[in-house]
Amino acid sequence: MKVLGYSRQVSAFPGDDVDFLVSCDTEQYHADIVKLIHGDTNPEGPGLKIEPVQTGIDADFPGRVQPVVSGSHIEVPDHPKLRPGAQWTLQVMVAPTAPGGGVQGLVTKWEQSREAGHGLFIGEDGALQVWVGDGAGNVQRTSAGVPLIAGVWYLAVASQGSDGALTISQTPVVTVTNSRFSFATSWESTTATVTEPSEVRASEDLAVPVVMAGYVETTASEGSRQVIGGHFNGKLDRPRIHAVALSPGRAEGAVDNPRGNHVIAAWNFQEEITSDGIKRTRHITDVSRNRLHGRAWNGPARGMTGYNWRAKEQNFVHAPEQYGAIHFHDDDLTDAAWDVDFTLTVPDDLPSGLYAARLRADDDVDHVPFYVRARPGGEKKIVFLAPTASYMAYANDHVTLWAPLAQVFVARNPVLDQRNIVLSEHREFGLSTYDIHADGSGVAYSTRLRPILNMRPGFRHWLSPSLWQFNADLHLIDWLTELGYEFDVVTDEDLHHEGVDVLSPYQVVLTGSHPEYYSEQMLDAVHQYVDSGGRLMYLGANGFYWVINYDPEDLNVIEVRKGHGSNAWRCAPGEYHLSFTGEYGTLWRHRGRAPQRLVGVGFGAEGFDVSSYFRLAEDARDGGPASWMFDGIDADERIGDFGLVGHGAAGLELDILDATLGSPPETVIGATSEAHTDIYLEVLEELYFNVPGVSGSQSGQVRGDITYFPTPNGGGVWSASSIAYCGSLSHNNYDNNISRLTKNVLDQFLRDEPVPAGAAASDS
Amino acid sequence: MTHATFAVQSMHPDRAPWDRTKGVPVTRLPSLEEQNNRAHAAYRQVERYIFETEIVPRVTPEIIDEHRVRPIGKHSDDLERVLTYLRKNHLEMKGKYILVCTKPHEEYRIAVITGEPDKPPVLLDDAFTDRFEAEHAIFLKRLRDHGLLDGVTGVSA
Repeated sequence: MKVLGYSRQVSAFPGDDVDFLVSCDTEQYHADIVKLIHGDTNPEGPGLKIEPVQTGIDADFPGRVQPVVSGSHIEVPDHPKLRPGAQWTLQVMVAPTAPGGGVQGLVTKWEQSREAGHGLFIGEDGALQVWVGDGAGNVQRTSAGVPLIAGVWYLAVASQGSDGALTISQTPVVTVTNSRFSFATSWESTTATVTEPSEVRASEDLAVPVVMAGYVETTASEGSRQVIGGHFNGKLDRPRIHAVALSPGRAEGAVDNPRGNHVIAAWNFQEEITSDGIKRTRHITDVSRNRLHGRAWNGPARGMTGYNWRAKEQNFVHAPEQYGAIHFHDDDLTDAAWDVDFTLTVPDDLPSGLYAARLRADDDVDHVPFYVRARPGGEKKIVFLAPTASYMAYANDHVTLWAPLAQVFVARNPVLDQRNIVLSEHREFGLSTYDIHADGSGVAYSTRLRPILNMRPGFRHWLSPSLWQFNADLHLIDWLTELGYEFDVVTDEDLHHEGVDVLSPYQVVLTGSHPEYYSEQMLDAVHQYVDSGGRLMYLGANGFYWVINYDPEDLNVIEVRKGHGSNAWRCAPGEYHLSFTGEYGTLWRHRGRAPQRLVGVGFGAEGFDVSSYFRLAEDARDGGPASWMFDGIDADERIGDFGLVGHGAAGLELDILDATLGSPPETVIGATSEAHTDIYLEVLEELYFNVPGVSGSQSGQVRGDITYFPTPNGGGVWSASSIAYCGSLSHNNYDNNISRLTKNVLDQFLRDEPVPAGAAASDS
Repeated sequence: MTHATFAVQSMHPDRAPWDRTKGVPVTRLPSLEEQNNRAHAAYRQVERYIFETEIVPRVTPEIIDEHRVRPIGKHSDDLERVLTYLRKNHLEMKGKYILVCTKPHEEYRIAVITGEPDKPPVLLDDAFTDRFEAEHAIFLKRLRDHGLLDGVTGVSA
């Protein structure tokens, strides 16, 4: 792809600015603003609908390539005290996760382009090394000579004495709980202290920062940024620098008690932990009297079990002293940090909706989406609540290329789009929360500040038989547009930061097809909306599922900790709490807030080969309490036996009623799906044991329930309970029973009259 | 904090740890990869048994024809078991087939996953205008790779 971009803001009011950041490898590109209506290129559907919009942006711009540098690390600005004197010691507790993965900086003040400075490294040989270089061609590297073992905590100490001798020491520090394993008869084979004489001294005028989990590859010059290389995979805990050559035994004493005149810096990563999590996510505190504080870049994972974790406490806020580790990855990314190419001032008369900057270079095109909100006071009656947090969770996923079971899961050979191929070559564009890092640990953070190639009109997703998330939600946008409904849009970010006021002006709120990732703030706001008379149409499934929150220092970054559900990866023990807030992560149902409590239904089964159809349930027959939804639909019709997502309206992921998990007593079932394949299986969190008989042809639990219930103050909630549902709206030129059912409900909710009654006790 | 006694190593010529009491080199600990390889070998031993007892007998012209007619969707138990075995590819990414859409809705190419994170799948020559034909072609390719088409009569391609 010749041109790619992202926007700094995802949601804006008329009059606000939206900055666009673009990388382009042709001489120039053309940019204009378009309205996104339909993004499905499937020849069986209505086709792409993207309409130009008159704004201040419609021009050629010069192309320039803007690189992305991924990998997390810490930088501490240069300071006279950090420059090496006649003798020094660098030490850190380290648990490498890819010790054979090439040179990795641990605690360094090193400039690679000049081979100048000093530092504690993992070498090419997979062992700890101490390096000194004078910048004039003299370099000495002394290795401990024995490989480090992945997942084991070590005390790492590097020093230079007044006689110039370099000492490097690696000592496993393994307890019953802290490392990957606890028994090994030959700890000696990974233990070493090596001393070599040296005449090389680190240059004392080296102005580069102290870097942890990397080193300075090239310093910043005019027009370029400092580049950090040698990114480390694994955990660091309690780095210290001393102005004296300490024996490993003396250094050991400084791990927990960094005292004395020779302590230059002692960074305790647990210092930022508060009772509400880590609010200053990027700050790194030096507890020595020099206060040489640092800053973390690209979002390494915090709130991680440290070298001294005892497995008694699972929440880092309760035992911060055991959570003094940060987990770094060479593929972490929180901000591509490109320069702005152009800025759109959203025209005052631009209606609320989903738009994109269209970037065209030669025959390539990229669309950078953004949402325009309604002017306060000028809202329409309907709002589409764009599940942007969920789009972020899936951003740029690489699952088909790392997960052996992906093809079993979808029971097909996934089809990769050109953009997947770009992502497979350019790992620096960052990962999704469905990926694992290069070292095998799960990806807990995702950022919007990068090109997100699967959040684009036209993108066909490997996981779905066709569309997924952002592009699938255009099926709904298109249907609303074609049927002439006027509507506004708001995003998850708006909901998270502004609360229920974002929804209050609206009579009906429509979700996307898969609003899966929810913060407590978002969940509270939707709950308040419904409780105060709001009318909610949940047009998908597996919503309100994962606990997330937003980075308090960068509202473009989300965090999720996975476990206890249907998960792409699982947290390590002791790491289920969100670093941003300290709240328990994983599924909302494990925090007592199952989706059934909000929308009547929750995740019950999934499968990704072909979709099926719905059939009327008892409540909808013979004038039952759900029959109003099916006005104009025959009682025995197959509902949604067609569609652009797996050829059916009931598919991908399905939700069901569950009273024990919180479906309100007045919930009625209008229709339920049937005839699913054996690729469809009950979800893990529903199973007490893994047993046969849980697939589509054997289990009545494998179904989706279309439900409705009234709420206090005149509100109501209707749930489609299938991710594939909206893919059937356009069939037969929008004249079909899914379209009719949806219209019946929406029109009913738009009426200024009481909503229909729900279920009542059978003797009433 | 508890830890093993620090071992001071000699500088020359070989820094491998030395057991002074026995006068022999210390045995190196296997890496995580070596441990995983050991477990994988056991897994493959069971997979071989499953292949011979559960998969080979199920590969018949009938299931191949069933797949040709309906490559994606509801299948017989026999076909589904064979497909699942083949798709798992012994939990190895390297060498697994995948499809790449090279022209939207017009051209589908079979590709092979490299197993290396930053290397895209390698496109093969096999190109199809129909996504379902491509699906069936991969099925046949996998059967052939496993020697499962040998002796199965009545299968073209």
